[in-house]
Amino acid sequence: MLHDLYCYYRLAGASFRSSLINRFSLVFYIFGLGLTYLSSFFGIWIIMQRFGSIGAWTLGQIVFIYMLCLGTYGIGGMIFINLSEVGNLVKRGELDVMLLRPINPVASIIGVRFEMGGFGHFFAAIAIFLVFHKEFHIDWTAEKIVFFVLTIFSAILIQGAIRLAIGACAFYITDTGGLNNLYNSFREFAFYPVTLFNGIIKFILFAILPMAFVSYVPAGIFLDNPEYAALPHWVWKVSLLYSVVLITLASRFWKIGLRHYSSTGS
Amino acid sequence: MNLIRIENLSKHFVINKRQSGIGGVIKSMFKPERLLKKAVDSIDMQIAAGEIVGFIGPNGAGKSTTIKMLTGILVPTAGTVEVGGIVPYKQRKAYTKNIGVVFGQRTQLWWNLPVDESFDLLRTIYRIPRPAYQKNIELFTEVLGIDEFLHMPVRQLSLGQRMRCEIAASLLHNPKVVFLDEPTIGLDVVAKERIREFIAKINRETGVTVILTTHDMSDIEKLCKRIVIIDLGKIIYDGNIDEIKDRFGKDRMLVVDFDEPATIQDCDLHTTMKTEGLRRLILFNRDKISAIDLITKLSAQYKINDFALQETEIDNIIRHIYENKTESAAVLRAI
Repeated sequence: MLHDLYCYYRLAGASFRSSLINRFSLVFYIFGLGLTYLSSFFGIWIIMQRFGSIGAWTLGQIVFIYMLCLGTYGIGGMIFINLSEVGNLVKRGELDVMLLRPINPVASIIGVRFEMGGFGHFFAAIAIFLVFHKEFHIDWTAEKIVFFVLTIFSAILIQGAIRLAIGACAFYITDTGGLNNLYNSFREFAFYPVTLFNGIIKFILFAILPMAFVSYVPAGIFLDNPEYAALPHWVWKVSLLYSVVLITLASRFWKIGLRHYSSTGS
Repeated sequence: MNLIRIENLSKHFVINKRQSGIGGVIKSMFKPERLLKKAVDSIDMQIAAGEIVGFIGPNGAGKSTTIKMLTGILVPTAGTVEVGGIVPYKQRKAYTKNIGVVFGQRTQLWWNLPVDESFDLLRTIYRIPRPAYQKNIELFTEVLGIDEFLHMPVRQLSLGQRMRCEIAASLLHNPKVVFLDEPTIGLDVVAKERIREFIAKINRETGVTVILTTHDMSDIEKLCKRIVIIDLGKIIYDGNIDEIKDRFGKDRMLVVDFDEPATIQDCDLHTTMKTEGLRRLILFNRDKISAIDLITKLSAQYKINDFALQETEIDNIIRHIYENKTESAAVLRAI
């Protein structure tokens, strides 16, 4: 496991350095992506200026959730994006090459591509934090800071779990383009408090693509909103452990998929 | 003591038969018609340490499936496969340290990285001790002459340069067995020769066992004493290469475009292998009849527009063996 992580670090580092070759276009790419999100964020801000709040949600609370989802989506994408390519790796026989190395193939797969675009999301999230942190009304005690770091880890882990599970589907259906699109469109809902949406979308965001656990649920640790008072405060903290459950389940599913692959071939 | 032991090894695939038309597609969604394909059908093979074995057969014969089982990518349906006492698919991670694999059509290097950086990543991945790594790099740069492009990204290399790097990469961790799947595909004559020399030299110096699949008869001739021919999932020949070369290597293929439909009787001098419109592919043994004589004979019967003479490639030999199964089997048994 440690060796796998070290190999991932070396592989991703190599991919990172090779993306730096064309600095000029890279900078435009990252800032372009960041600006896209900042401008859609600006739209929310304008609406909020007009109405003051949406339901029981204040501007600061909505912004906090948006920031959490955006930043961790960026980091998750940087690390895990190549899991959306498993189908193509299978088709081109490149997965076989990865299976011939003495490390976990997942390290080989995600190590091929460190997605620099994630910095766009990440920097946009930081910019939002710098501008709006006073509106959050969060008292940053040591405990809160520790939980904030844990929240970020857990959110990245959940997005990794989702991508890993979608990647594992490639062993059965080869082309996961549709599933990737589904993930990409449903994660957009998690940029907002998910309780604003209707039942079906809520159900999907909690049970199927559990993006609610990336932003809405852990925000309960930090935000003072009547919705979060419905359950005891520790529940929101314990919810972070759900990421461990999800990544465990996803790895199990991945292993089953890989076993299916090695008995059927491509 | 044999390094590679294969007994009754089989791999069967279930294929969903697709039917044509929308109706067929819908029908096969509800009631799929399944076919069982025996890609590898109960084969036996023993390979000793240090051998170079040519593993050949036409496309779809079961070569890749066998190699995939030998490398631990595929789990066999039945039978035993063991390399150096390890069952490949059961201990995949540990096992991969003992083998090197080169797929001629794919790369194990990183496309955007310089070659030496790719090598260094492999050093990390395989946990190769630095002294052993340095020693191998020196040996490979000397024999393969790869030092001139060691700092170039893989994507900028010519196919020949890349293949040299691929082979070096597969040997960095001193594997016991190396699987070379069409290592000379698409290379020019000089590059091919260089690769062959390197394989021979490494085999001599390190004693690494080489399993070579190729469609190039010269690869086999220059490197292998032993050849295993597989077709339709069965091993149809396993033995010395000289005998099979004597028997089949003298075959030539004459491609003739007739001006009119021609019916050519097969005889012991020549056999029609293929009919494509007015074109006939005729296999003949150059010891029995010369190309000139054959053309003279044919042109006496029919008007000939054009003709070409092909060297018999391993594929043609195998096809000949296969298409004349009973006769060839008898010949092979006689050998």
